[in-house]
This record gives sequence, C-alpha cells and structure tokens, in this order.
Amino acid sequence: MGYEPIKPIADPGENLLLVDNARYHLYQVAYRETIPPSHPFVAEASAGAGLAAGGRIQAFNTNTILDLSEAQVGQFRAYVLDDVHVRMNQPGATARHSTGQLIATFNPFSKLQDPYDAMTEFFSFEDQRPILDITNPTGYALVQVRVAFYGFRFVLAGKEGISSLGGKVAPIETFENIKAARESGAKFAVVGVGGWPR
Amino acid sequence: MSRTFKNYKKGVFKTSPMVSITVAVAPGVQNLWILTAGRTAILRKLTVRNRQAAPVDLLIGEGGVQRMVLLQALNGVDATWTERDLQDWEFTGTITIQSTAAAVAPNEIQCQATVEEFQGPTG
Repeated sequence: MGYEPIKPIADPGENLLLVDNARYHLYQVAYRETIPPSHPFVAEASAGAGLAAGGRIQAFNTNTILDLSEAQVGQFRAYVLDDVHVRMNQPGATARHSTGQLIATFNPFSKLQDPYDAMTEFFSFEDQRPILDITNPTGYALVQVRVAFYGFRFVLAGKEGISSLGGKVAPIETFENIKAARESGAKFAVVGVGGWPR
Repeated sequence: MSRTFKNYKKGVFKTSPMVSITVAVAPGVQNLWILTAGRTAILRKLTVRNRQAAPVDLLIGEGGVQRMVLLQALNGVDATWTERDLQDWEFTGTITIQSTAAAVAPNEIQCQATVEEFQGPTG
C-alpha cells in the first residue's frame, strides 16, 4: 500500500476475497464508483455539543455515513479535522489498527506523516461499519469533532449475480482458510472487512 | 529541552487565546500556551499590541523561567515576530509571557501566539 494516493483495490470484473471472522468469501466486482472527499462524508461526532478537555466520545456509530446496501463493500480512508484521537473498532468489540497491546489512532499528526491517509485505509462490508472511539487529548474544549471519509464503493456479484432485488448475495465461494482460496485458482485481492482478533 | 531536530519533526499549528498582560496577576506571569499533555511546542508567531506610553520588554518563558532573549514591544505599533525571528526553543511546559512594565492596566498589552505542537507519548 505504502504512502500513496488512494487507488481502487479492484476493477469491475476482478475478484475480491473478503476476510471476515477468519473465513474467506470470494466475490466479483460488478461496479465501482468514487466517494470523493466532500461535506456529506464529514462526521461531526459531537453532534454540535463539542468535546470537553480530556473528554471522550465512545462508540460513535458511522452507520449514517458508511453503511452500504447488500453485497457492497467500501474502501475508505479517513482524516481528522480537529485535534482528536480516533480509535476504530470493527466490529464494535474489535479494535482495528492494533498490535498485541496497543491501538493506533487517526489524529492530526497522521496526515503530516502520511499526506494521502494511506495508513488509515479500511474496508466496510454492507452494514458492518466501524465504530469510533474519540478522545480530546488537549487541555481545552473542542467545539467540533470532525472525522472525514472518502474512497470507493464496490458492488459485488456472487455466484447468482448481483443483489438486484436488494437481497442477500451468497459469495461465489467461501473458503475455510487462505490456502484453500489460493488453491482454488481464482485471482483476487484480499480485503479485511473486520478486525482480526488480537 | 534546548536542541530541536527541526528537519525531522512535523507538528500541528495552534493559535493561543488572546492574553492580556497585567501586573495585577502576581508576578505578572501570564500563560501564553498550555501544552497538550505529552506534547512539546515551538513558538512560531507572536503578535503584541502595546497601548502604553512607552515600550516594554517581554520575557518569554517556561513556567516563568526565561527561555528567550527579551523582546521589545514598541508602544503604539503592531508588533509581530514570526518563525524567522523567533528561536526554535522547544518548550516542554507551559509557555509564559511577562512584561517589564511597572504598571499595566488590563488590555494595555495584548498578546497572541501561534505554536507548533509536536506529538508525544500521550498527546
């Protein structure tokens, strides 16, 4: 990935292998479109209330911003507009961007080191959006708590095609492990759509 | 903290609240910028308006301890020192400002700063 501008993980016609709960689901990309950086995708996590010095917003739900319809996956990057630390959980109980003992954050310094937000990249499948845990590290109240997202939306096709009626779409194939997925002969890009428990 | 590896650091710029120097606050030390816990900061810009009848010397310090050469704020003019003028002292504590004026009424000397904060282990 590197410190590069965002690029779509796959083109239409290519395959994605979604990794969720240590299982591997193979889908084909049917359609792709961009989600450019824009004001509808700026979350104001305090809902106008601001955030007190040292304060915390636990479990901010990104559902209204990042939720997708059935059989769609988003490739997103994020940056903050205020001096806050943002931890990401996906699903709610699993910390993303974590090591054995620590959880990395998105914060104002992230963009200084990584101007393309490359290290913030994450994927969100259907309504399995991330939940944010936001803290104000400063000694003063913040009047706004803004986190912005941008990226791509992919419409996926399973073995019976796309979700034309809005229903669930079964993957082309589900594998128990990555070895089986590789041995299937299919070409794919691997995408984590939920944290891998530490 | 005196030596700053300027070329290797990147910080976020913050603007302080407006500070009015008054000797009524003994001993006249005003907090110009209170650091975010765990961070350090370098003073990048200082704007001062001295509305008194005479110039004053300003003492920039860390918790009241002088860290920079005195700056003279002429009266009746706008004074701004920018990154080119200010030393890159890396503050690890509250940045303070004092005036040498013997008596100052509120808002006679107004100051405002921009600092560059650097990330620390907690901030």
